[in-house]
Amino acid sequence: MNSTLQPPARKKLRLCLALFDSFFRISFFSFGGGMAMIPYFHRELVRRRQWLGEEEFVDSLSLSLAVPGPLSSNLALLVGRKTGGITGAACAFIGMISPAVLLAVASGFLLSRYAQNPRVLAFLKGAGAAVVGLIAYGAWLLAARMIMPTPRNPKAPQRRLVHLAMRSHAMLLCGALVAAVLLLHVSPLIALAAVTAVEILVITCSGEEANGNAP
Amino acid sequence: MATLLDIYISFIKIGLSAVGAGTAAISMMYPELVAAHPHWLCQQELTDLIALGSMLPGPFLGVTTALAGYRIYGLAGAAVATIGLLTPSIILIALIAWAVTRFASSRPVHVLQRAIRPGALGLVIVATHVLAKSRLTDTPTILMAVVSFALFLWQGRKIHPALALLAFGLLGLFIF
Repeated sequence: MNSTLQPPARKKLRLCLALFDSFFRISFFSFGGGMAMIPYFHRELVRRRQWLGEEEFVDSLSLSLAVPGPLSSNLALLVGRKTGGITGAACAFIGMISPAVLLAVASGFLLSRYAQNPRVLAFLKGAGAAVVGLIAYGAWLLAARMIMPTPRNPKAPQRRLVHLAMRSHAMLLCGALVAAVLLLHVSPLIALAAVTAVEILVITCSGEEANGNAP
Repeated sequence: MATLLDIYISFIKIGLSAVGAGTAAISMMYPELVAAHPHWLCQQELTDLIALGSMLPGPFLGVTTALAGYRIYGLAGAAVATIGLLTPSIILIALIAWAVTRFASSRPVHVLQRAIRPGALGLVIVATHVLAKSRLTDTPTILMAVVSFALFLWQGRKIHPALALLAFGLLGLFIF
């Protein structure tokens, strides 16, 4: 069958299969929700497949976080669309959500039977503790790329300092959102909108180059 | 049929509230699935489903949604709930992807994309805190979280996260 397809169609088919494969594996082997998937996404999409550059990764991830809906499926749609158009988006999306449905149905039979088993609970307690470290690492990956868009550039340490100063207001805003949500119990949606509005003002007023850190 | 439509609408609302993390959507599940429809689930059932969903691999919110849909209306309920959860996401992403491609070179799109970043990072930190509060209940779990974070910082590029979690799970077998 495949051999009768024209080369562009075969290329597209291969891309769609790769998208499905990547997102299925990310979804299936991850544990702890969309936020804990950030290191998986970085590993697979930026380093292994090179569908996204470092800057595009931060942009796509930020956008996926801001749009209502699960982070993981938002990102699958964005990346699929970017690399393979509508078909690519569909393949990535189906790859991302099918493990969720499969696992939920399978667990209806399995985990409800073994959820009281002390060994299963001990295993999950250990893995669950490590997930906290994994999410913190995801936050670090994002933060490092926001503060220093050109990581490991030993030539220009002083430029890093200038950049750090320029981005310090961003870190302040980030801290303000954390404080508002955790201490004042502001809805994350409202806090995100407020912080984004302030950052738009800052970028606009400071005349900072909007695309100043393109690769 | 009427029930399936109700399930669909309820999960659209839950999907719309899921900004940043599944944790935000969880707070929408109680009013929708327990308070507004008392015959669907009781409070304890929902708490159990959320705990089960967070134990399973896969996207936490998607798994919990499918579990809740399955409990309410069987396989059809699971499918309808998942589709409902993802409907707002599909429509909004399609619109945004179109706008970003269409106006890619325009300054407002660039400014907006950069302006979202600090808030997005804040949401990840909030999620870390929420998860830490529920998972880190004693000294061994706190130590394991610190060690895993240090391990990822040190060798994050080489170690597959799933392998590391498996190792910590096995370690848990000896400790707990």
